[in-house]
Amino acid sequence: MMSTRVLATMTIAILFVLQAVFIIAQKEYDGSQNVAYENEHLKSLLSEQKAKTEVAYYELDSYKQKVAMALPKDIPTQKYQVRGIASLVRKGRGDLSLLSMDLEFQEIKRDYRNKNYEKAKVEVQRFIHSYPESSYILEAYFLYVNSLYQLSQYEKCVQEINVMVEQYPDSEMTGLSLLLMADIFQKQERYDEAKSIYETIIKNFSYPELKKMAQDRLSVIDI
Amino acid sequence: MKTLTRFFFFILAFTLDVRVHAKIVQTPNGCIEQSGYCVMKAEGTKEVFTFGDVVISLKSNSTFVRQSLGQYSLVKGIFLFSSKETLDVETPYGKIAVEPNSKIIFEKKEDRVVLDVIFGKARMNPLGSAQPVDVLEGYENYMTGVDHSLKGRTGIPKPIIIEPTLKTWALLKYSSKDEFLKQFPK
Repeated sequence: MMSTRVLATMTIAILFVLQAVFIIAQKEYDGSQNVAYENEHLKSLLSEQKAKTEVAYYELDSYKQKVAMALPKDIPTQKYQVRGIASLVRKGRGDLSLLSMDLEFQEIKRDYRNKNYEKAKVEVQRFIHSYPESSYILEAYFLYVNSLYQLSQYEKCVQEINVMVEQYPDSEMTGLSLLLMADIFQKQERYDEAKSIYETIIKNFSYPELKKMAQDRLSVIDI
Repeated sequence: MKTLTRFFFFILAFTLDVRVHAKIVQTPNGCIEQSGYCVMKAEGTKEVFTFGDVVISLKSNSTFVRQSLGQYSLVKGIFLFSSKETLDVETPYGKIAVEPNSKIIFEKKEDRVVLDVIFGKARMNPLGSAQPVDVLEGYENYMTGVDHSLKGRTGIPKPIIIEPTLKTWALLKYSSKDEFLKQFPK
């Protein structure tokens, strides 16, 4: 006859076995294993996409450096006195629309560099319209007025420089654009107006290089 | 009672779901085994890759690209390169030529790449600059983006700070603290 102790041990053992069978069966048949597998698969896809995104950013960085090297020296970098709201909030790098904006702007710069001024003009105009709060907006305006200048569309160029003066009066880019405006006036033999612009630049802008350029040109007019 | 306890652990061992979250991400799939283009990322823990005479250890969440054997691009993170042969390391700011038998820790930050030469020598070739900059054994320097002179910038070489560099090196090269201490007893 079995003792009570043996019987209790056997019962507990049977309970354990039943529990194990139940757990295994539950895993096998309730679909959770499939879900777990799918989950793992999605996780691995996500990891792969993240790695690809990192490589895309790396390539974008490399491209930016190449663009920076190819730019003419007289296109200044952003050292604005007045910063737009967008330039303050633009730090996050995870947004694909920012990436797209970056790429679009690099494309415009490339067109300008390749002297494809007509295309650069159209594209940069569209860029200004699409991304009015972009941190590139001043550079965009600068490329726009330069494209207009290169295309000899002087009246439109002067109009747009006036917009820059109204909206970004302290920017170095505005100062450089004013040099363009004075140049246009010189071409049109409106020397007094050109002179007055140079004097304005010397008086109102704090960038030494800009002042020097204005001073040099003013001395040529005076001669 | 002993039998019962054993039995309990036996059942437990079958029902526990243990997962280790260490993973290598590679794209294209299965590219590590080949010799061409391959993006590799260490997820969760450090990883070590060996390609012939080149051993690359990565801290977790570091990514690099093998462009070909002997040519690598640093995408993100911290790496230890040990190589018996010359190899080229590419960054957005220029190339770095690693001399044979060198051991170098690279850190690819958002705007620069910093290198600590533990053994050997590296030669930085910043973008647009005809003048390479050598980084000698025991020194640290960095390479960063193009400035107004249209050339990539470099820092001033300075002696590596032993403690953090040693920690990174130990972490990347050795599997445990004990192994490191065996190699370098106090």
